Amino acid sequence: MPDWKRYVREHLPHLAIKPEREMEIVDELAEHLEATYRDALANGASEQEAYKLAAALFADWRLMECELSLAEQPVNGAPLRQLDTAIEQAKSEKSRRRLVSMESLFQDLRFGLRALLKTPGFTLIAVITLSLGIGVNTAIFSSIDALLLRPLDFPGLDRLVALSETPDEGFGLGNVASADFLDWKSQSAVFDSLTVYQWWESDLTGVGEPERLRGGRVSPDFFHTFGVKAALGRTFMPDEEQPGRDQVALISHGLWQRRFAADPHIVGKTIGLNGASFTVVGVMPPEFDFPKATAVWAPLPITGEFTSERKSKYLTVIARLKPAITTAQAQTEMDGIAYRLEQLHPETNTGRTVVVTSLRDRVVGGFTPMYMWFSMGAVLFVLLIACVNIAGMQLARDAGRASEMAIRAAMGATRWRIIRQLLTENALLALLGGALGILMALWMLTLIKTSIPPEITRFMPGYGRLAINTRALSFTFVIALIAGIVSGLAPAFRASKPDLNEALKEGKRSSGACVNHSRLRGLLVISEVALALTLLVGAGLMVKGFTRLAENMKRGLSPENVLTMGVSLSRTRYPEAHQVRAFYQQSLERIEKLPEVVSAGAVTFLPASGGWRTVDLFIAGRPDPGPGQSQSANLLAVTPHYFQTLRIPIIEGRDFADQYQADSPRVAIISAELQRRYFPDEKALGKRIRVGSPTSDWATIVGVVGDVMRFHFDKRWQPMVYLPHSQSSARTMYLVARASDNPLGLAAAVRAQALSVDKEQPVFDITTVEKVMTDQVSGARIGAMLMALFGLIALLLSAVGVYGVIAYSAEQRTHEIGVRMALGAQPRDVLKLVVGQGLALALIGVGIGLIAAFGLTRLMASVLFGVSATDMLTFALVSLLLMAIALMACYIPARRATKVDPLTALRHE
Amino acid sequence: MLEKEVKRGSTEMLILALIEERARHGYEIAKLIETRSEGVLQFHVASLYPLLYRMEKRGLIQGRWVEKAGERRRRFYKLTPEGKKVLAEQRQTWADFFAALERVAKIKSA
Repeated sequence: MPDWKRYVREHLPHLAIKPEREMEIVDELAEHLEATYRDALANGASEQEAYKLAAALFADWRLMECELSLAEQPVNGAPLRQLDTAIEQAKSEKSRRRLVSMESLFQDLRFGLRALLKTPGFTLIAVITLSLGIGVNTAIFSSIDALLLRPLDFPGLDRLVALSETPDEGFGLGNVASADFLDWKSQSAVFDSLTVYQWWESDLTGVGEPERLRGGRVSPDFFHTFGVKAALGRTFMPDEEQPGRDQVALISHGLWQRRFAADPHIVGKTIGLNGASFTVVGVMPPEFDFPKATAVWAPLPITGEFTSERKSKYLTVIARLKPAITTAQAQTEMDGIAYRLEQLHPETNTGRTVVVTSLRDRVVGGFTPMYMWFSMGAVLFVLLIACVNIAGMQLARDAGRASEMAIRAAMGATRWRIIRQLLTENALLALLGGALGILMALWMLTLIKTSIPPEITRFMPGYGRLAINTRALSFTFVIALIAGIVSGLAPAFRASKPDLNEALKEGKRSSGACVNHSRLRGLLVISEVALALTLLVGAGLMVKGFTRLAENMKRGLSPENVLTMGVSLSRTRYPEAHQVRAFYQQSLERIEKLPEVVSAGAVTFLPASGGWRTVDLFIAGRPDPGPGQSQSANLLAVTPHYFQTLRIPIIEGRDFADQYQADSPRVAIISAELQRRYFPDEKALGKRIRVGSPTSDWATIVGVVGDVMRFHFDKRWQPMVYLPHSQSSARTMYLVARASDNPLGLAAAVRAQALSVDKEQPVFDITTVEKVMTDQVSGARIGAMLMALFGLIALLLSAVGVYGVIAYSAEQRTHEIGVRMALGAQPRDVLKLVVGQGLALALIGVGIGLIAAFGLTRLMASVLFGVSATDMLTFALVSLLLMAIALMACYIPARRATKVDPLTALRHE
Repeated sequence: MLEKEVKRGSTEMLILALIEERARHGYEIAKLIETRSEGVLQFHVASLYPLLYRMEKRGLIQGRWVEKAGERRRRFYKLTPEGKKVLAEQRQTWADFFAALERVAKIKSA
């Protein structure tokens, strides 16, 4: 006799009434079912038929709950009529249906929650698994949202465009000649406003310690174009671009707070910039940070010779489109203007075109988008693996619930109803996972933020908004729901089609764990291994590439223990070349006298810093290269002891001597690559070269030094020419000082020596050479680090997943294994059977994963350095690693299976 | 629509009439309605118990748990004086209704 009371209790949702009364109702309904069941049996029905008959009486539990709740409400007089009306309404078909469907949703949720609480171990592991998958997705989505989708925060950002001229000879924004800009401004009709800016390094003086500031010279309508106003004071007036009226400046909120103690009366005060005085007219609001990291803005006069300058391209042009004008329309108009300018000024503008791009796309640039989208791809893989894991876990758990499903089906629950119930459970799981995932995402964002040095982040548009916002939360919600449904679909369909006869048997577990079921499990193992392999290969390549990159940068020199700082001497303070030479000479002499300093020197661009200057090269005794046969080298000015300080080996000849003067015979040192490239069969030492122009002085090669990197992305060495600083008088130099140890400990002393020569001269970028180099590759480092993290999570999840599925499947086969052992199979055979089957699946997974990885990693080629996208070693190692993990995951359950006592196993049925 | 209304209105009277003879439990009431109407009147248990509870709340019937040895305890319902009054009123209403039907549509009441 079925326990009808329990049956009612399980089906009737809790009523909002007194528990004693509820118990009475349960008793009464149970009694009714029992009587029906008994009568049916008495009339000759089988137990199963009687059960069905009784169960069919109460098919609609929700209607029951609804009516009981209404019936149990207190009544008297008027409320009675209200109650009747309420009942009438509840019964009217439409509202009834709505009520029922709402009710059934709540019932699903309630029931789902109860089911999850019943298996806390499963729930915990599932929630953690999902939180890993969802968390990394939320973190990467937030990063993409801040850095790629909304890097800037200006009103009407979509209408802001950047205009540049091609061919582009520089990097990033810029490159428009001033006369071209003036023509664009007067001839175009698609823009509300058209504005320019130019980078402007300026030394702030007159307020305590001198400081080098990043600044921008901008046309007066610059701020109007962006739609921003000053937080204090005003922005520039149109007439302030006239020479003589342009000695005004706007300062950033940060500078105002840092250097002027947020002085509310700053407007009208005078500050020194590059030796000239400027009147502060306003302070910009804190959120205005364009161009990125700008501390001071001053007007940019385009007058005099600049109105006809078409050769030198030094301006960056930003424009605001008129409403309803598209970028394409603007492009069409600009094409026409460029064509006209080409006809009018063929000597400068031939082949010159204009490119209109959205400002957002222009500021993002570089490798960031690539890294971000790869990371997004990787985290989707992680999420998929998490989903497969959940599906596997659920298959195992749902097998234990087969009889529950069978009873539901027997009672008339439709297949869809059962699927919905199971999917609701999954959605609940995923939402819990999502909530935990947000914590995980917060942690990951902190990790991302702290691993990018501030020297880089201050130039990263959108970095300040890197956080979990409402968009990220909505994304998490959606992705959690999708994850819940995806991971639940297969098991739900499986479970919704129970074999009633089998499932309702007392034993519950059938030996032959149906074929479909085991096929599904096999599929899970295969996809898990394949997904993990693809991701791990990608991660492996990224990590390997980054390691190569980091090693490559340091080739040819020894950057450890070397302190560096930049100095830039302005023309106002140091008008004459001999003054410049004297400054550097005196500073370096004083620095070298410091006891902790081993040696010191200076250079125009540090190795692998990404800064260089390429010049034409002429060799004495050879014809000048014809057109198209460029013969060039990278030009650097260095002081004596520079090579020694960075330990760049002098292969032949010697270093520049201390006593060289501006008027002594010209000399040069070349790099080994220059020797190889331009003097392949002869000694370069003693040869004479000219750099820059065919009319410059001949310089004799006095030494050959080892190669160093120019830019970390260079795939091969670049030829370099070093000239003595005493003969080139570069104004901006990077000092380098080798310390016996702890270079940063020297910073204050070295800086003091430089200031002792000129206390008004700021030094900047004080750091170590090693850090300059690693900062260069921080993007690649964080890309590799994230990929490694995702790979690790994928490995962990798939190991757990494969283990779970194999363990469950071995357990399902306990009976079979028992029979085999009873018939004489040895533990070794059982081990082989279980491990063999698992490994076969893993091998198929590895095969599929290799094919997928082979296809997908090709997309990564552009962000891999020094490693091929099809690097055999990585592919092989990752495959072996996964097979080893799969072996472990299979071995443990297999070991357990060999411990099966045949007798117990046979009784298992 | 009318059929539904008629059924609903009549069920209450049927229950009152059935327990007028003696106290009965829910299962018996359901069975009796079904057998005595020869299957024409049949209604879902999901509506029977809520209806019983409502009638009890309104004071028309009164339920009481009765336990017998070897059996599950059952709740028997008996008619209250208020119920008797309502039953009489409803009988009168239905009688008037059938008389009217007979006069108009020549339908013989049972």
